[in-house]
Amino acid sequence: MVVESEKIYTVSVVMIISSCLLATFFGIGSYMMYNESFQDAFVASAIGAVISCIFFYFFYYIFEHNTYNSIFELNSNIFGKVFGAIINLVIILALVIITCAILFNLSSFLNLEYLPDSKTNMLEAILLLTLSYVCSKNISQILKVNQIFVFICLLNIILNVVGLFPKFEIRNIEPLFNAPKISILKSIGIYVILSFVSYFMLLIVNKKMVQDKDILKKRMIISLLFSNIVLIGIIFLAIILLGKEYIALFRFPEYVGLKQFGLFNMVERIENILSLQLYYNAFSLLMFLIYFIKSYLPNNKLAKFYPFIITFFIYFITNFLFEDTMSFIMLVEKYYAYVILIGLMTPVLLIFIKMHFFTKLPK
Amino acid sequence: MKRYILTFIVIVLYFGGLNSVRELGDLAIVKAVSIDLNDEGKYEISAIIIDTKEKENKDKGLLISSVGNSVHEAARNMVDVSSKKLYIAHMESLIISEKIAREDLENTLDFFIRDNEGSNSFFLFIAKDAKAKECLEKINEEEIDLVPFLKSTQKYKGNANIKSLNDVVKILLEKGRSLCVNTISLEDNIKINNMAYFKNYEMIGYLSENESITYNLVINEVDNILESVGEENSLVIVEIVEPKTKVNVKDCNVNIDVKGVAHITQTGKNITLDNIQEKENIEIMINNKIRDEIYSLFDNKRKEEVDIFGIGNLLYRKKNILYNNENYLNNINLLVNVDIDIVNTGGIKKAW
Amino acid sequence: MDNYIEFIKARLKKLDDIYYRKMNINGNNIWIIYNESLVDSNLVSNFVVRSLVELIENTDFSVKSLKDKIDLKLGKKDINLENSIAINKIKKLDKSDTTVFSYILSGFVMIYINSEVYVVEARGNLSRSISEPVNENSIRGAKDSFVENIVKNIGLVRNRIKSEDLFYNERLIGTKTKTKVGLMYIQNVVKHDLVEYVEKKLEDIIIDGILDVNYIAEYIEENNESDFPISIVTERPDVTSYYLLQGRIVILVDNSPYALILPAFFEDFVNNIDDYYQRKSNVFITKLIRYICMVLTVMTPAFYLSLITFDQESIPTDLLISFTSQREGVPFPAFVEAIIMIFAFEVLRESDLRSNKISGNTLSIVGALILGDAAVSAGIVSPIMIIVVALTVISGLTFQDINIINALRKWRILFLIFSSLCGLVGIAVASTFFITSLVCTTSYTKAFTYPLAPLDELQAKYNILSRKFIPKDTTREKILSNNLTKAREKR
Repeated sequence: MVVESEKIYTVSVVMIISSCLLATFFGIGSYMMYNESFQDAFVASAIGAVISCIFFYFFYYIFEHNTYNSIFELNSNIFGKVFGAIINLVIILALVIITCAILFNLSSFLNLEYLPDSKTNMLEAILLLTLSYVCSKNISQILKVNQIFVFICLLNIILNVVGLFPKFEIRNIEPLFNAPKISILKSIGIYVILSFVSYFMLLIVNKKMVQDKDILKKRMIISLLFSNIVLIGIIFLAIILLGKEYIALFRFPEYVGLKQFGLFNMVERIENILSLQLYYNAFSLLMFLIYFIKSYLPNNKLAKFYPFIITFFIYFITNFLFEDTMSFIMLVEKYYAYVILIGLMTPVLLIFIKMHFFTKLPK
Repeated sequence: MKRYILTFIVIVLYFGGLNSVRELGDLAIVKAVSIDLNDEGKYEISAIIIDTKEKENKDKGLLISSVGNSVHEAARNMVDVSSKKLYIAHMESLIISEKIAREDLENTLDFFIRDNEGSNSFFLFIAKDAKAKECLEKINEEEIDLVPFLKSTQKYKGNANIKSLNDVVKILLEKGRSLCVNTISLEDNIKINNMAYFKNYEMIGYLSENESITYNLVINEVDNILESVGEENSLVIVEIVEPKTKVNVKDCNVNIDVKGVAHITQTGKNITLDNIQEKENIEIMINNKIRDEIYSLFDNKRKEEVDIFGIGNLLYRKKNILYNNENYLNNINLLVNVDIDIVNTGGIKKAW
Repeated sequence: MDNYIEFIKARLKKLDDIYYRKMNINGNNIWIIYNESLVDSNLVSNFVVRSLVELIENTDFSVKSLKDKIDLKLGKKDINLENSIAINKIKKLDKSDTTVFSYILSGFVMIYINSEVYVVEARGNLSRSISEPVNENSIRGAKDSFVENIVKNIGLVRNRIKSEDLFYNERLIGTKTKTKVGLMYIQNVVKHDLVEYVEKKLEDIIIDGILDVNYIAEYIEENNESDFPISIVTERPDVTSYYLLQGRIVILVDNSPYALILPAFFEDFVNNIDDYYQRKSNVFITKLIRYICMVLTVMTPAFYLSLITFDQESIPTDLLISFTSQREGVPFPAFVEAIIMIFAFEVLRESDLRSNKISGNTLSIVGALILGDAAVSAGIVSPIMIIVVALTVISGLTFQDINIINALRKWRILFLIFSSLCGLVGIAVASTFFITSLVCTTSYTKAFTYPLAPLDELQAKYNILSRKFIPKDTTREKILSNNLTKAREKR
């Protein structure tokens, strides 16, 4: 029989962007933006969203015209063996570093707020264990798991807004444009560069694998706009909830903002339950990253053990790179944007130029 | 599937992950805390702990106190007195003594802001003319709940406001805004008294009752207040319902507009409410009275260089040039406009 | 006596319930052999024997030619039994055919006349009459249920679908039981690759005995590693007809009052066909309650445990004080308490299923006493734990299929273990495992979480929180059928 459960439909593909975009910003991106330009982070994110939507075209072009199974095969076929292998290695290194950063970020968040007396290592190990179970499944099943997570997170966001509604004060956003121009430009740069990570996750699948392709373009644009608007909304609501000075005081301002949730005058202090949405988003992004790394390795008898081996190595690399929160923040502020720029964006631009102008791919 | 569960259990036990488990019996649930600075310069903390063993007298708690060099150390020294660690997530009120408010507010509040449990939604009080610990003892003895006390005072009298510690810290951090905090005093019984005002992080003094009510009126924290004009036989007492204040700034001029609706509740013998002219006279008298109070409060505090209404913050937000100057307070032109309409006379046409 | 009868007696000689009757009518030797326990003696005496007697006596012997008379006298004329015996099923067998034994042991009467072997059906009714369904209640629906006889079951289904497109074929499976297994589907609706798959699987079965419909189900569902059931087992014929009209396949097994319906999706265990018998606007709240019950039955003990031991700030203050004073006297940690209570409830449920009706009352009183005041007063558990576990078990009983209840019970214990070690993080991790396991279940190569996970907007809009409006219900589900429009014929 035709295996129908392994078919991929448009809806699953389109929801990759929604969960990944929210996940790349939590803890790393929004923290940097708030510390650079305080309440102008809202303006910076609005402008940054417009610019990143323009860059999205490059990613979508590769997604649409790729006829090989993965982007790594595409590289070795377009650029020849040597140069293609170099580019593949650069991409893999960048992905590994990004995985370590997001894993450390998530486990330090869980360690700080949920289980303060435990060690960060334990939470990393637990998360990696779950990841090695989920990433051993088929790509269509991973996409379906991500779809269900997006539904849960949407409900969660609506509930948060409803409960926090009386606490918003619009006057917290004034004065606008008070930060120096350099800071606003830096924040725009942070937004645009960090959104590349989530667009890059779109390249896990390609258009050939999707079943109903006619409505793909329209749905992709709708999902892109919707995710960016939700992200701008979250940044905006965090600023008008906390105010300019308070937001620069904390490591995870969204969590502190949720502490003021109050419903019916009785249900209070449930920020631990409500911020599980941050966990689900980050977990989706980690799923895609590890599956991406797994698709680079050749498909042979050991294929069952790949997720386990990959997670095993990532545990040790994370311990080696980041030791505690202070060093993590310093390293991220200095080098993270460059890692993404050199590791992810340059290969994409090179592939785009080569595909568009030079070579024609076989069907 | 079974392999993953077993690995999970092994991981958690290996890393010693069961450290975060707290049984319910290990918690000392704190209801109210008071912080004092005693003569030796050490912090003295007292706390009311809810007693869950005696089932009959549920509201009466235990009072324990300890001493230390800083707030955190004093809180840790509590284990000398009680066997359980303090759990402050359900705290309702924090009472600090006047000496701390005048000298050392930041270090005291630092302990509560950095704690990641609880949402800092308790209320801050300053103990006026009494030691904070004595107030706490009285509260424990008489089993008083301070929070409903505060809420009804805010609703019906107007000389207190319900801002939790979160809001207090936000106001402290903002530029050009000044803080006023509720106070309680101990004279036979616990009473919620008029507010205390701050400049930067230090307390300067107390406001009187009328000044407290005026302050709360300008920052939109009152529900309804009583005003009276005239005396003896031409007395009129009016209840103003939900007044709203708007503060605007334009160049050097700051406009404060107060609008509201009022009911007449008591009249003296000479007042008959026959015609519109009389009603308008009463309105004009009330408007003038409120306006004078606002002017006098602002000017009195301007002499002490305290920006009581927080106009500096408004200038900063609207990016007014005036704010760049150090003495912007003296250059402000205040224009107050009060507009109260008397709507209802209580169904009675003239004095009885 | 003939060799043939010797041969039969030699094979069946040890069986005492086989009856041999020899009749001699007009010089013809007629043997009647049947199994006493399986035939209806009324049919044998009134129809078989009497027809034989009448046949032989009343044959029109007005012969036309001398040849016929001579042939008749010598007993050589063919007496065509198939045209003259008054019974509904008759079959002529070859003398060398060994299936005659299975016919005799299935309730057929063997007639040996004139060196010809005939088998005639005279089966007695050994099954109960059609009664109310035992395990599935319905408020408004029809109250007949399947019985242990496959012919009656097919009749109950055909009573509802009177179309010639309803296809049925059967095969005998099991070398010793030779059970009839029937396959039903509607021809121009179902997807034919599924039918081919099922038929191939049924043909490959080699087993000595089929006792129940679940034996067949295990052969067909071979690569299923998950805990969730991927076929529906029901005992109501109206439910069966509803699923047939959607394009599913039904398997009926003789001697089993249940029908197996495949493929099954997760929404079928939550939806109920009774929703179609009530008003549409009230269905929203009913479905919401069912989904909330599913979440409650899996997560309540774990959630309570993580709030009590890790995250006490989320509980309102007065409740926290009350919980603390309740847990003062209990010697066990909260996890052990939860396990004890869940174990006690499961023991009660098991004994309820196994006990007979006489001692049922005493057991329920004892159970209520144990779990009520006595356990609390003895200081073993706290009252709040009893409420939590009672809420869990009761909301688990809103599902009717025993496989789903058991699957959810296993996940309930898993959630409990994860949450007692790690708190809310444990619940998040366990929910990841749960959702992955749910999504990876494939029901005959179709996804198990059908309208939700490969999102089919049209069906999801109707099936998740409401039901379709019957006059406007014109399309079938794409995953079950290629024939998407339902016929709307006007008279």
